[in-house]
Amino acid sequence: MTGHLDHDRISLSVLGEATDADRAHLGACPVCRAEVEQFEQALRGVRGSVREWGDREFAIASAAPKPLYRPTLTAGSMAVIALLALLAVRFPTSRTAPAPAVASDYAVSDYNDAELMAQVSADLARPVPKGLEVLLPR
Amino acid sequence: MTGFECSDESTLDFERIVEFYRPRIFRFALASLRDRDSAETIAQDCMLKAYSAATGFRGDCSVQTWLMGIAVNLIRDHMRNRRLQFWKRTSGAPLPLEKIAGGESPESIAVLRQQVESVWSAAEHLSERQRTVFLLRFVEDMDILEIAAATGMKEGTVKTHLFRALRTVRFRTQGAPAL
Repeated sequence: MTGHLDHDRISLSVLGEATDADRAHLGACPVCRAEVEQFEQALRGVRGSVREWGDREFAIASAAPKPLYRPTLTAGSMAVIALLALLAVRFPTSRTAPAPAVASDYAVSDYNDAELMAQVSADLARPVPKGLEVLLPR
Repeated sequence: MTGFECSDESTLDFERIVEFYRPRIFRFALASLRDRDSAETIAQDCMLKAYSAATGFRGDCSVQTWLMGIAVNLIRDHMRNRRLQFWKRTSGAPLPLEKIAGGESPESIAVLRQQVESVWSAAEHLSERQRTVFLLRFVEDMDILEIAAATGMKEGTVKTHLFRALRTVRFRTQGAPAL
């Protein structure tokens, strides 16, 4: 037997596109026939493995908690931003807002600096915070 | 179950279609992109697109071919976007080879597993079109006409891409330079 089938002709044979001459050669040449069969077997192996892998990964993907769908997340974020912007325009906050609740005992506007510091010093001198003084032994 | 009859669009039972075909679309996307999250997104988007386009489905082809056609386009778009996201590399996941067996000797099974691995590795280097027709033919078991319908290519073009894909895979698995 002279000359085996080259890669192209083996590929065509696997695709079922072999010429009559190639088919005849395959019938007579065990080496080329083995090549074709081996290649077909490898392709079948890929099919089986990919299918198994796909089933496995699909099961994992289906079992995993679903993340928020991206467009929904984007639309939701944009809606929140738009709402916040609208609120900011309609209800502007004053830059001279009173101090937060921590300082409420000191009624900011009614004190000058000296009185404020005196009250702070008095508060710091307490053995326990003002609200807990009722618990102290009399 | 081999598939759905699709001669009448009004008979499309979408819940069953999703249940039956979503794993297949997922598998095809997984094999194409080799990334579970991307495959999940593609399968989800494919079903959404199919649902919104269901009224336009004329039944010229099988439901599987129709869905694969949608998936092929989504995967193509996804790959183009991924090319821009060069920092987001996905590694080629290893193919499970444990179940590759037969009545052969341990040596021949080992050789076969190695060949399967080589073919799978070679398929990663195919062009987008070659990989698509390769997977549709050799993993999804679709014939040339179905692949042509799903990809929008002519029958002859599908054959050409398939032949080139197979030749490249063969060259790579044999250690010879690809043309």
